[in-house]
Amino acid sequence: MHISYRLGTPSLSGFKQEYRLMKIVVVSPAKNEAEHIEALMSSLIKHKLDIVVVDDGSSDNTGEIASQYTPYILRHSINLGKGSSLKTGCDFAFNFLNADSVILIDSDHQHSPLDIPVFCKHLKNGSDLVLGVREARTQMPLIRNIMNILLTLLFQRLYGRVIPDIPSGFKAFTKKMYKLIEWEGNGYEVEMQMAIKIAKLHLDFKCVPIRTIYHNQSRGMTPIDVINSLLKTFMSKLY
Amino acid sequence: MSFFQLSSILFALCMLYIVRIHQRKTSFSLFEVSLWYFLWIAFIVITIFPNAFIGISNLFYFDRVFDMLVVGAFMVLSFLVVKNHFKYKEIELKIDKLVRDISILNLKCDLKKTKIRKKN
Repeated sequence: MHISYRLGTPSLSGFKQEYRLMKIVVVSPAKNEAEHIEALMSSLIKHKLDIVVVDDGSSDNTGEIASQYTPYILRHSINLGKGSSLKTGCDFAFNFLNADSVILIDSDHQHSPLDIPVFCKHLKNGSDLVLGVREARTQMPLIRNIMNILLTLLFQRLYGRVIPDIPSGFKAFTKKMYKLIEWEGNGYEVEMQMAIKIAKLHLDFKCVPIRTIYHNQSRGMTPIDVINSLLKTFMSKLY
Repeated sequence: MSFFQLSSILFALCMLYIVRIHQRKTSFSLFEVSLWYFLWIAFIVITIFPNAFIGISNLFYFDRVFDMLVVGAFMVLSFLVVKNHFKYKEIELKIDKLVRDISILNLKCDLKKTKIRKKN
């Protein structure tokens, strides 16, 4: 069944047809994103995909706003972190919505939902893992840019594999891949853990350039989170 | 008796009182209570009669009884820190799983209710 989904038929071109052939669910973890979630959701629903929003203990009305666009709002009663939210969203998508693949997207509207068809196209073409790589590096704040380059270099040195833009939260994978790259962390280290598993298990992936919009530099992953990821990369190499 | 000895005894007595409170609250098992009582009473005894333990400290190549006490306390603290760390990790994982399971269960219930309402 899955194989026939993946292959599709050559005559069925166009993204709307592809969505019907393979069940793809968008998973978005959100914490206090009332300001941006409406813009994200209104763009996401245009793609006619099921959307799962994980409200990670928000103190504002993030969940209420998102519930106007999708019935699938998972609410964490306390804040657990990005990693746990993604896990909740993926578990629900794969086990309850019977998704074949999921697309992860940050809820701060930092990523453009216009890139979603590219992810869908690669998934449909047989890729099990698609990583979004932020295209215009010049748009990225300087400190984040430096940290990102450092992280990529260190990762290459330790694991002998180049995985560009590790902290990017815009990625897609199939159920099979989820079982392989399933992460243990509950915070921002989740992106690093995924990268380590990709490198250790020699998993194939596709990179797609994505657009990035920076609304608020003080939110999301901070340079301290990147340093934390760097330390964890070192630690994980030790054991 | 020196000031150091007096303050050490007072500290140990305070700790014994805390052990007693937790014993009443039954937050400690009998083994744990006995262990803590033994530890703090031994601490008081060593503080009052340090010379009585010179033989033991010499056996472990410590120059002074106080050095032996500090090393012993450090070992106990290290053990407790490690134990606490693992316990904290275990509890964190349990809470994480619980919150995640509840959120999925709640959504499933909500979806079922909506389905029933739509049918009616």
